[in-house]
Amino acid sequence: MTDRGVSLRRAALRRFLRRPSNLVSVVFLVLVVIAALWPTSWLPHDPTASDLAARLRPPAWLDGGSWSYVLGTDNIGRDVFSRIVLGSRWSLVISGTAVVIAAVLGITAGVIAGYRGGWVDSITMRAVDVQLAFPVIILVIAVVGVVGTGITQLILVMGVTGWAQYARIVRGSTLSIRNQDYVEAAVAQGASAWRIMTRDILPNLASEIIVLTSFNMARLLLLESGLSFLGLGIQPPRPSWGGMVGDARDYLQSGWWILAFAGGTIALAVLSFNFLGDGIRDALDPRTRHVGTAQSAEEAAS
Amino acid sequence: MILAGFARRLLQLIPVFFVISVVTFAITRLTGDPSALLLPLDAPQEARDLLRADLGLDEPIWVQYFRFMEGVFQGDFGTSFRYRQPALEIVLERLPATLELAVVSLGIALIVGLPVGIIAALRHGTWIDNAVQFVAFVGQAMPTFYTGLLGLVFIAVNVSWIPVGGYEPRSLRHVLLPALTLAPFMIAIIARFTRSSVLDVMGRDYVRTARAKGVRERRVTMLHILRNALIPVITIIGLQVGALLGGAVITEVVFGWPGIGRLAVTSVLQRDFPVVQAIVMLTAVAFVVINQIVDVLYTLVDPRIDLYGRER
Repeated sequence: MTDRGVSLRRAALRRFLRRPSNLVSVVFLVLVVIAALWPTSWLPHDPTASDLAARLRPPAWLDGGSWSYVLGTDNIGRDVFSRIVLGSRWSLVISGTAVVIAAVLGITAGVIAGYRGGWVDSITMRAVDVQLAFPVIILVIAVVGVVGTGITQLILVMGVTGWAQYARIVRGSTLSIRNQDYVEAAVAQGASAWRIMTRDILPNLASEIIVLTSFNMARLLLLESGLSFLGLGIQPPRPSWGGMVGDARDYLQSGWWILAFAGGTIALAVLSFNFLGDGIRDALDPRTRHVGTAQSAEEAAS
Repeated sequence: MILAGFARRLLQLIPVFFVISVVTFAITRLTGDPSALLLPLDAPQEARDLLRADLGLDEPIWVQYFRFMEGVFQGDFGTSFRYRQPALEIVLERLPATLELAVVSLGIALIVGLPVGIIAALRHGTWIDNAVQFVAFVGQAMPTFYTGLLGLVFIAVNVSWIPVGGYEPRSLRHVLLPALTLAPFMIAIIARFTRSSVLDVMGRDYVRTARAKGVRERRVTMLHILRNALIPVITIIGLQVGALLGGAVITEVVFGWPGIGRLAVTSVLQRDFPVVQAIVMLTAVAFVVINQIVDVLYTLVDPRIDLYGRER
């Protein structure tokens, strides 16, 4: 790597760290990852063990709370804190794997469509239209309803339906990169299409893909927690953030802290991924600063 | 001229509709044998064979698809297993509730999102702009089941005239809380999109020319900036409407709102697949058609863009 590359990267990192919301997001996401990796046996309580004597205990700092149950207990006496910690594991694994699947499918389709152009491009873009026409949540619950609610099914459905988000944007960037001088030089030298796509185009999409992935993590976390809330995602006894909010529905008055903490964790995680994506984009390309781009709207109805 | 273009665009939709129908058909075939979904696990083989023959499942798959499409063209998605009524009828019965929620929440989102986005852009770089951006991010990150339930805890319980869920046709007090739950996400999207659209126009040459000519700032803002900046916002509104027609699944579940979204969830849980198929297909088709209409409207509002999205 050249010195210039290093200093550009440093400058980008400095710009990234200058914004407090970026820093807070990174710290929170690191905590979530630590929570996901935290061994179950080291948790203060078994996240799935109920203790009816300790039902609906409020958080420690309130009357009737104890420091043994920092964030209180749920309706059958399970420790809310331990459940949120373990819940992060499944939420991250499912959304993370689904994002990887969506990224691989979408980037492949987007690069090929953008580079080849012609009918390949038309067909791919029509397929994107069709994919985006299906309200994601309805499509996903329909498929999950048919194939069942396993972790693998969940990952596959969320991953496969997520490709279009990547394909559309990657294709657009590929189109503009294709006409750059260095790509034309490579073509003139007789480089194969595969070589141009993997060596000349893909590396130049890296920063964009990182940004897209961060936004898509946020999107899929919301989708997964929504499905788990509906009882169609992660199944009990495995704890999940969305599932905890679903359980909390019947104890809104007597156990509001379950809703507050589990729901709050989801909101913070989604917010952090969105800030992260936005922060990276602005840091890498200072020209786009103060020009927010609208995210896709199809998630509005969830 | 416009009609001809419109007709051509409708023709282009045929392949899209075809794929939508194949996907919808394929969903119930994912496990190979939909009869397995209809019968209890311990059903005898004879019952299975009888049902398969009855549903035409012993025929080749393309014949089955053809049958399915034959029905669809006659508005027949099969009979709901649960309600013993045509599936389409059941879905359409739920449409008014979904529409009502969509209209009210979109209305709130526009009333709040447009001005907020415009102000943020006109004051861009200031604390107002930063605050709007921050709040928009938070709005987009809040899961609707979280905001909805918080609304129930803090609003419905304390404000006596707001009911804790339930539905009455065209009743503002019933629709208010679900609509407020759905609105933040849309407000955030509309505000952010409006903001970047206005910023984009503010940098255009014609705005600079207008200022250079000595046109008053107020007039520049109203006539040159806003008139042009708000046109692209139509697209994002179209996307929202399309998405909302699928029903706000989670919001409807939280508030017991009898719309299409909640019907989708209960039908999946009860394995009522004709209804699920009808919902998937209708919402996808509605989404495509609405966005197509929006695109055409766009060309009417902004004559610089032709029907293929090219700038003239």
